[in-house]
Amino acid sequence: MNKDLSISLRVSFFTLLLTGIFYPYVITEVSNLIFHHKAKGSLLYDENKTVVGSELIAQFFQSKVYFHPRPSAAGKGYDGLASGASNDSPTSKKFISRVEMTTKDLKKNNDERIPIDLVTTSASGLDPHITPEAAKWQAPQIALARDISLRRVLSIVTDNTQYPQLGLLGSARVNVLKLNVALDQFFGPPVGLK
Amino acid sequence: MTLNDWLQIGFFFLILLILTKPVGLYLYAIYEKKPLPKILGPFEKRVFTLCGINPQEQDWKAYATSLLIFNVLGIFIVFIIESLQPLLPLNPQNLPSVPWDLALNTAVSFVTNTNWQAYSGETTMSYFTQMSALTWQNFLSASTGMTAFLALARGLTRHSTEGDKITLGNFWVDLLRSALYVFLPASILFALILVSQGVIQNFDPALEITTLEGAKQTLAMGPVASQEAIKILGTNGGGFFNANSAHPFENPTPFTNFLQIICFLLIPAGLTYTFGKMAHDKKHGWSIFSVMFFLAISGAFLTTYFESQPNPLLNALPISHDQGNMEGKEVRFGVAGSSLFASLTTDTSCGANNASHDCFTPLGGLVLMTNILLGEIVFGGVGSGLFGMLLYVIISVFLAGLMVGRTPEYLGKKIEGKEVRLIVLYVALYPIIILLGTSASLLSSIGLSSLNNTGPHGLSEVLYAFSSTAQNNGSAFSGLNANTLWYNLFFSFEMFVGRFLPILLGLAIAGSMVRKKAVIASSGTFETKGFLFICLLIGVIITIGALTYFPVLTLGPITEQIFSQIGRTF
Repeated sequence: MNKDLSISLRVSFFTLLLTGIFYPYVITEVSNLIFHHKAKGSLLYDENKTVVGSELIAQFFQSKVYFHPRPSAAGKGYDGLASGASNDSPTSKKFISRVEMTTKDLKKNNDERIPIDLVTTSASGLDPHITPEAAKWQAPQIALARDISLRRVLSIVTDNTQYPQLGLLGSARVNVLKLNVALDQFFGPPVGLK
Repeated sequence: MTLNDWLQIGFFFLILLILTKPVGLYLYAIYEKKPLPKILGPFEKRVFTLCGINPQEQDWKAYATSLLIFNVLGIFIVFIIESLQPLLPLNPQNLPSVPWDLALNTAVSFVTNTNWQAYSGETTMSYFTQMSALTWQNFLSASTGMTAFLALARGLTRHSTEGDKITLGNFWVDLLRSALYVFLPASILFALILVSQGVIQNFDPALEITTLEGAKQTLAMGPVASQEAIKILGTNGGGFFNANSAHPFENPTPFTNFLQIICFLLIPAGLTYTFGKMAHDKKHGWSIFSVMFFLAISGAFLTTYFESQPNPLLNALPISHDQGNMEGKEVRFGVAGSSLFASLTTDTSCGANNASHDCFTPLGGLVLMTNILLGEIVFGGVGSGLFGMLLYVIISVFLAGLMVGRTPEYLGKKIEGKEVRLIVLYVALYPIIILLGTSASLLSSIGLSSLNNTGPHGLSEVLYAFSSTAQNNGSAFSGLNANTLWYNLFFSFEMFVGRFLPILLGLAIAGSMVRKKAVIASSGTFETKGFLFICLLIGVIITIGALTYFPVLTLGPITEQIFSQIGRTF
């Protein structure tokens, strides 16, 4: 018994130093050396070198000149410190009425059937992507708000579409923040904002 | 289901099949080949001297004592680190100490390899706690699982001439070899691959940014990749962030998603091959692998099928349902990547999740719950999965023996009254602690006040939580607010008993089996490998695992499904 306890203490101390402190430090040092950009959060910068966000984390967009991400259940919405899903059951009144509300709001913009990712919350609440269908569905409204041709908006969507990795893994997707940054680059930032 | 869904699932299982043998051979070399490869031997000796370990073999009682003392001490250390968090370094968000009931729950949870989380990582745990307490126990609880398996496997496979062998190996040797030669090198490699794809790894404080529209947003930071790697490889499953593997900083691309699923199955699958080698007959290993493989594939297809169905309650709305049930799922994974992950994370005791299981369709959720209730033996946790499966093998052999009227034997050793009594305890344990816990919570107002959903789904939330903690899975129908005194303490009990009582029973069986003389198989011996045995084992697992819970599953997910078909909401 006593011998086991003494060994337990020593093994704990040794493994804690090795796997709990040394290992994470080494991984941090090495990653910052070879994958600096990714290890720090894949941040995107504007022309003045200020951070506008992380390409991996969705941010809130409400202006009509921007593409909108999926609804978010993270905190009060897109809270980077409160990731999480709605956890509403598919048969709950709460869920059904929320989807009805979102659908009603969105329907004003486009009469076509709404891709389901635009009316449902994601698992993290920070999903940076929408489907290409969802981007195309939003395109007419953006073309109208920016007073540019629909064709140009659609071509930016196509340029920013990522296809399944290795042609197999995952779904086709568009990164909303990168898409909006691209819009601003081509057509200038909207007046009145920033 | 689209063609791409089928291809993704098929491709995944193909890769798993290919990797099983090489991983199994490596594990065999680490644990059973003597002497160890060149550099490792002298290094290991130093560590043993440093820790005061005498690497002589232990009998089952000594082995079990070392295991228990080491793990209870682990709970104490994690608890203390959580409580002293504000006094310790690497706490840029100035987080206060973790409340005692939550700290206890988390300590038990990480030591038992459950990694149930009643907290959200971003706002509860400092970087130091995440690393030194949680990452550390991710390594050690996984290693403990391996030791339990090794002892049981040795008990079954060692040839003894009536009682001359009584030892099962040395706990400390098995533990340290698992941590140092299996999990650490694999984690280093995996962590770097994860960072290359976009998983973050830094000690920066949370980052305040101004969004493109000029609003403020705070991005959580931290040493994520190092914890993510062992969280997956050790079938731990406790996320750095609340959203776990759904968080883009934990699982940024479909490729990392694929790798994560492969990595939490890799060691449990490889171990079946290792077991075959230990039994000197690889067919035994492959037979067990086939059972696991069959159950895993069935679960994955069923989940993907149910999740790709549109929600009938949304039929009236002008929505295009092509993508299936996307509530609580990430676009980059889609229905296939989310369902595959969900089904396999509940098969293995990993319990990480890349989608909200609470938002799954009722029948999709039913599959996940059944996976857990089967006993975490469909690949299961590292070591602990095959450990549980071997106990099921013994039950099956016993039942077959009853049917043909002969003394049952496994690997030439007789299964007798003593072993069967211990195994019945093992079989009865889980239904008792899961169903009693669920009933107690549903009958108390404290238990009910934590529910996010009402109606049959509320029942599912509580049942899922008790199954997940007792079976050491750790995933959740996260709508249940588990951070209350009632659930924190109740679940601590479930996790502790659900982990260590079966290990004790299994080690006792190993201790009794190792003494037995192996008899030479005759024409009357029931074959414990091959197609007939595979079918028998699957039948026993489904009968014991799933049918026990059939009544309560009928009241939960099945009722919910029927109601959703007739348009009733809650």
